[in-house]
Amino acid sequence: MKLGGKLLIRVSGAGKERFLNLCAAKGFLLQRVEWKKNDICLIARLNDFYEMRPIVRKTKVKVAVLKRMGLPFFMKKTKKRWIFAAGAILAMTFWVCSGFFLWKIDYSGNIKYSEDQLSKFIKKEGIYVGKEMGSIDASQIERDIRMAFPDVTWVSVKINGTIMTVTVKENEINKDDYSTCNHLGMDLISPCNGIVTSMIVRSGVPKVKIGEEVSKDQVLISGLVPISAEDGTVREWLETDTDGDVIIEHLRIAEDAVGFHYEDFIKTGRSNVEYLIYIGDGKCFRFSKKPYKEEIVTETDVTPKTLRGLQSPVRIVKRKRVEMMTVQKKRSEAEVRKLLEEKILKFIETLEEKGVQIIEKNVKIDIEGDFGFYYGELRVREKAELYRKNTEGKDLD
Amino acid sequence: MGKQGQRQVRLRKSIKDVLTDYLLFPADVCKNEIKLTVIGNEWAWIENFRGILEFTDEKMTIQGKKQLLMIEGKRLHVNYFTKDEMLVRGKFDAIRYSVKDGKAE
Repeated sequence: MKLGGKLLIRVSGAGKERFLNLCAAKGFLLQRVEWKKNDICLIARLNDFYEMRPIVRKTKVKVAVLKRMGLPFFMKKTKKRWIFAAGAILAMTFWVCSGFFLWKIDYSGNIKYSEDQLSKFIKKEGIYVGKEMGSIDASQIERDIRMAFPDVTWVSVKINGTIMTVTVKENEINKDDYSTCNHLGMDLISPCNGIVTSMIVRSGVPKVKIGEEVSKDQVLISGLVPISAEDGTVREWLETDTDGDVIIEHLRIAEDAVGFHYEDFIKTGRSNVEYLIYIGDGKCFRFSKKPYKEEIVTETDVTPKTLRGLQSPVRIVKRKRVEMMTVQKKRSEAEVRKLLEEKILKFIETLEEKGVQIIEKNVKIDIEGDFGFYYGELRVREKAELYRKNTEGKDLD
Repeated sequence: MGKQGQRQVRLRKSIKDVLTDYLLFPADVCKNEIKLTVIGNEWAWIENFRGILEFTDEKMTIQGKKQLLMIEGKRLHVNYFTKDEMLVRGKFDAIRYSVKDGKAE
């Protein structure tokens, strides 16, 4: 937009060239001087245009204004639309003023300490959404976080525009985690009744042999290694980090049922939309509609992109309610059988995903009364993965 | 003009020639000639002119101190025009000078 204001004028008459020369001599800037149908069209500055009057008289040309451009003319137009102008000024003031406040706090790098914990602490320190940016001391917050959270080894508080980003780095070696990851002094036990088909012991004392029948909770590998004295007695028990692969073959029961009658949740076709406006930390204006008895509610953030980019405190949420209805339905026998087959396949897939090897399967589908069901046994080979604290050593002590 | 006057003109000319030829003073400053800078056949910057004598979209005649500069072409227009400088744009076909006895024709 031309701030000073410019005019597109048409010069006609015999002394057009003289008019141009005199204008240039007076120091006027003439732009886009073009020949159009025996006349000359050009753009002149508004201030120059007022001073052209003596030259026009002298050269006896006719000057006609074709177009007005620039801020003075725009302002004249907007005088009639003062509400629009006031809105524009208000919006500008809002954007400028909102830049002085903190509108978002982001957290990253935190694993042990939740975002909730960190935000509560920061709020306690007097930093909250809507606080004036000038009064925030980032280095002080960094120091406070380091003091309050001992496992935070490094912290950075960065203020970018109206967003404050708190990045923390936590101590990765945690004593508690270390003890849960290792099986120091623990026994590997059998998860079920079965036969041991394979056994690899990397650490610990094996308590069973390949081919041996084991019962549920029986110790397979002991986590306590006995240290014998010269006379053959156990001098002390050494706790070891139990590790080994023991595969147990056993029968696994598979059963499930599907009813002929079932309830279906269907759309009635009616729906409504309501808008919620959130300001700051939850103040909410609501243009509400009546809720349905049974409904599915979905919420989408429809805040304009310009508002989102500036991290303004205003958030607009569109809430859509779809009316639902519960309907009683009945399946055919073929449908029930198909459903049961799918369930069996899914059950087998789940076992295979867990690393269970299926040797043999004997599953039957049957219909009885209002239900269809499958029942059977699967011969599987499964890895023992259950650990339990060893108490053997303590007994002997 | 008498004999003395002719001698003075010749002397003044020779001083300007000396300045431009031997001391490498810019000719447009010393001789006050039209300075024309052309890029391709579409852009022409003109300085040291007195004014526009003729202006249409096919022909432009610009008056200098000693000669006339004529630009012929298509869709000729002046992008900006001040007392010191102007930028002529369009498709130029010919640029010609017209000089007669040290005075513009």
